[in-house]
Amino acid sequence: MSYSLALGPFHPAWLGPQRFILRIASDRVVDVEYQSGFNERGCAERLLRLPLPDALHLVTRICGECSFAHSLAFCQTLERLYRRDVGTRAALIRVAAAELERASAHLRAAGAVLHAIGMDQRGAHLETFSHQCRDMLAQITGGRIPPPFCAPGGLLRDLSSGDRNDLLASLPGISADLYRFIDRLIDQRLLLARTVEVGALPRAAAEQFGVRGPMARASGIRRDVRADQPYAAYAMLAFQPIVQEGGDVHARLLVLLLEAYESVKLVETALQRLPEEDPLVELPGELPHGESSAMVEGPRGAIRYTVESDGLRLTRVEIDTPRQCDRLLARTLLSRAQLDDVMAILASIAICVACAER
Amino acid sequence: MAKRIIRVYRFNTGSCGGCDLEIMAAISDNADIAWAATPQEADVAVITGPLTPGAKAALVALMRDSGDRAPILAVGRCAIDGHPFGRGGVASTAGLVVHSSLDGCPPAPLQIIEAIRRAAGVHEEQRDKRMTP
Repeated sequence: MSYSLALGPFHPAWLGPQRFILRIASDRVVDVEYQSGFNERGCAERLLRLPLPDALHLVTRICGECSFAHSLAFCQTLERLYRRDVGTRAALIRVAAAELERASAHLRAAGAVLHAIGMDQRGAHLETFSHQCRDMLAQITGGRIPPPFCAPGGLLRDLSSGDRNDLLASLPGISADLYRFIDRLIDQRLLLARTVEVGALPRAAAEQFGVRGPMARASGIRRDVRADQPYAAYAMLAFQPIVQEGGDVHARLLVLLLEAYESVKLVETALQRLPEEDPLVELPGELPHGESSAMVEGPRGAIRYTVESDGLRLTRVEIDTPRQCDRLLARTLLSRAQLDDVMAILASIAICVACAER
Repeated sequence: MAKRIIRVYRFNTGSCGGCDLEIMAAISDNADIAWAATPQEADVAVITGPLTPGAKAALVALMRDSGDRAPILAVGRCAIDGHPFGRGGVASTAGLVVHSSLDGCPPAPLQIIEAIRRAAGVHEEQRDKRMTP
């Protein structure tokens, strides 16, 4: 028997709207239609018309989950235009905020994969970890979804020594808990049965599709902006990209969990090394003439901003975000998949609709 | 009598995902509120985002299908008037009756929980009134 099954556009498990229409024959997916673009907002065009303080606010709201990554990429682009340097303290605090955001996003995505295969208790545990990371992010930036915090040349808010000590006191416990959690989870028989060789994206296909971020690293592509073109303070910190070869749901889950663990470690090292200096800056005035571009590794892959200015205002802003799902990729991942595995596969690729439809 | 569970269906109509994350956080922390599997089962329909043209069409069609049964709660600043994405939100959407709204960018999980309970409570009172002759 064959039938069609429509998922979305609004679905409780997804942050943003997207529509999958699956053609199912004897419990397996035989064809996939994918519709997106429900949320196109035209943020890049809008950035041109905004004064700098409003622009800094808008970039933090292009994507809520990758909020700080967007504002960091935008600020680094403007720093190149203004030729401003960033102090060590500001750069280290930026790393801490970016890594907490990544850990929170990754742990939420990993929790969604566990929910999708029925490991609800463990999924809820990961959600708790994710909230803890967001609470710590709020301690640094002033909001669980950060308000404008980064500015060209530095920061708009300093980390008080009380907050820093607080964070340094709780981080070791969280990373130890997370390590124990991952160690007990990864070779569970139920998990292996539901995720190994499910929704596989081989390396060649991943390269052809141009996927980025944790999804590419789970297919054996060793590419991470933090290591390839270090920015902020990553060059000061020992950092190795995490790569898995499997390309299946298990590999993607592992990459998400291990990167989150690594992120928590990076936050700890970054906060330990904070020098005493003033990271606060005034917003710059006149815009110099020129063009610049900068890239950061967001939670879902490389985010690049390119701006052009005529000396009075920005004349062009381009935002390149990681390639997200499309029909071809959805078909490659879901073809011949068991109907029961569809939600786990979709959860494991952690589609960021807000980034894609900015 | 056991406490009734409030079922929530969430429509992201162009939000950055921040409000959606906070709603998820709110719901996972509170036992009396849960996700509805379909919009038809919802006790409260939550809208986030500035109602982009693409999402608006899908939302209006869905609301018509589900018979406008559930009260609508608009969560977040952009769902109210579109800020910072420009004009939009429920303020500039004709034909959509929004029962209550919650400002914030994003509002805190605790505020969201209270707003959902209030929306569900008001709805229930009105229904009880209609049913008693």
